[in-house]
Amino acid sequence: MSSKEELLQRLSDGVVDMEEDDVAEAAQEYLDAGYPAFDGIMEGLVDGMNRASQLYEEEEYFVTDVLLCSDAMYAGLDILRPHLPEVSNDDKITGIIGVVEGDTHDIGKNLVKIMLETAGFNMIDLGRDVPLTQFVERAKEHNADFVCMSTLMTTTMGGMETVIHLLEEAGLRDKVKVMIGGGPISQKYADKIGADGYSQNAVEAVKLAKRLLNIA
Amino acid sequence: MMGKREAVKAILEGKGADRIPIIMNAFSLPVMRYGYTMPEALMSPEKMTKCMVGTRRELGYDGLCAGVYGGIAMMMGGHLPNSEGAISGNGEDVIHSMDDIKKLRPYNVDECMAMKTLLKTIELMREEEPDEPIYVILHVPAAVAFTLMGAKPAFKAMIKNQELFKALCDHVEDAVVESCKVLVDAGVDFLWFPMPNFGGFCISRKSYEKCISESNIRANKRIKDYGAKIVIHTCGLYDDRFDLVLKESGDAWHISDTQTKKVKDEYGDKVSLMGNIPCCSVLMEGTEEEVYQFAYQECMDGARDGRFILSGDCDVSPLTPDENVIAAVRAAKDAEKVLFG
Repeated sequence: MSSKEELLQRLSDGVVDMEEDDVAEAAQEYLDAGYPAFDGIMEGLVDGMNRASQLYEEEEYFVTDVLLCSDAMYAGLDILRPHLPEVSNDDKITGIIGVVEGDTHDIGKNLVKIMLETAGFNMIDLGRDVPLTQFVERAKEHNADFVCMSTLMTTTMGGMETVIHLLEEAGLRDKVKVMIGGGPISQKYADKIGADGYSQNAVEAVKLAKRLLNIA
Repeated sequence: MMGKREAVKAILEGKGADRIPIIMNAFSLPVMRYGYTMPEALMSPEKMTKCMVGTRRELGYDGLCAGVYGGIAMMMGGHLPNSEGAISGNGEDVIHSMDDIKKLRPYNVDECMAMKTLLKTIELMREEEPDEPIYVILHVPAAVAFTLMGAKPAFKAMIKNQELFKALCDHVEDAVVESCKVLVDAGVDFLWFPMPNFGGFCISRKSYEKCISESNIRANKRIKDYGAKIVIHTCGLYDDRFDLVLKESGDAWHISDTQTKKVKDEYGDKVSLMGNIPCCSVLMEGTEEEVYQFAYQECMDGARDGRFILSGDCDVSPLTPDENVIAAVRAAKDAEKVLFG
C-alpha cells in the first residue's frame, strides 16, 4: 500500500503529466486508504496545477498542455470533492467571471477561472457571450469581491466599460474590483475605462487578484 | 510609379515595388463604421462593398477585403450536433473522433451560398475599384479542422490525439484547395491565411511541427501551383517557428507580436513582409504622432528593398480614431519619398 506522501506525489505528477486516468486512480486509492480529501486536493491536485502554471510561465507548457492538466485536476476533484467537510463558500473571496457579450472565445477565461479556483477563490462562472447586465446582477447576488471580464475581439471590448458604468449605477463599484484581460486588452485600456487591473495571462491574473484584494 | 495592384503583385512575387501599399486589413472597422452587423455585411455583397470601398476612400488606405470565407466548415459539418448537442449550422465543435469524420458531408464549392455571396462581392468591388488589390480571408486546412473540432478539443487533440487532428486536416484539404481555385479564378489579388491558434500564445513549436506544418506545406503548394498568391498571417508569437513557416511557401508573411526589423534581417531575402503596427496599443490607443512615428519606422525597417506592405498587426479595431489611420497612410507616403524618390 502506498503512503500518503506517495499518493500525493502521484496526484501532483498525474496533473503535471496530464494523465487523467492516473489521477482518478490515485485519488480513489488515496480515499480508500482513509486519507483526508482536503490534503489530497491541496497538496496533490493543486500542487500539480501550480507546477503546471510554473511551467506555463517558463514557456515550457502552452495552452494545450494547461488544458489537459486542468482536465486531469478536475478528474481528481470529482472524486475527492464529495468527501470534503461541508464548508460554506461565504467565507471565501468570491469572483464573478465571464466573456463579455458578443464573444464566444472562452479558453482564456476558463484558464483564468481554473487558476483562481486553484488559488482558493470561489469563482462564479457566467460562461461566454454574457449579457453585460448579468455581470452586475450576479455580483450583487453573490456579494462578489471582484469581477473578471475577458474578450478576444476588438468589436466587443467596449462592453467592459459598459459593465463598469453599470456597476457604478448599481452602487457596487466601490465594493467590487474589476479585472480585465484578453487578446486586444492592455493596461492602457484598463486605465482608460477605469478597470482596477489588467492581466496578460492566467498566472498573472492570480497575482493581480491577490494584489487588488490585499491577499498576501 | 507602379499601380497598386501591380505593386502588390511585384511584392508578392519577391521582385519589389516602387511604392509601399498600405493595406490596413481593416475588416470590422468598415463594417461597424457603416452601422452593419457582421452577419449582415457578410451576407450582403452590396453592403460589404459599400462599407469596404467607402471606408477605404474616406481614410485613404489601399486594398479591399472581400470577406471571410467560412463555407467549408459550414457545408461539411453544419448538419452535425456540437459538443453541447445543438445543431448550430456553422460546423463548429462537431468532430471529436475518427467516426465523426465519416459523418461530414461532401464539399461542393459550386453549391456553397457563402462562396456565391463572396464571388458577387468580388465582382462588385472590382467594378467599383478596378485598380485596388482585393483579398479574401480564408482558412488553411488545419484552421478548418480546428473549427470543426472546436477550440478546446482541437488543442487537446494536438497533444493527445494527433492522428485525429491530422486526419481531419487531410480530409478537408481538397475543399480548401478547390475554394482557393475558385477565388483565384474570380481575380482576387491574394489570399490571406490567418493562423491565430497555432502561434506561441497557444501551442508549442513541437505541436506546430507535428500537427500543422506538413498540412500547410502540402496544401499551400497545391494552392500556389494554381497561381494563387498567399499571405500567411502569423498571428501571435512565431519567432520560434518562422523557420517552419518558411517551408510553407507563403509569398508574404503578415507578422504580429514581433519586430519587423528582426524578421526582415533574418528572412527578408526569402519572403516579403506585411505589418506590423500594433492595432491596439498603437493604432487604437496611440496618439496621431505616435502612430505616424511607428508606421514610418516600420516602413524604413521593412521597405528598403521594396518588398513591404504596411498594415496593422491584425484586424484594425473599430474603435480606432480616423486620424490615426490617416497618420499611418501619411507615414507610408513620406517613407516612400525617402526610399524611392
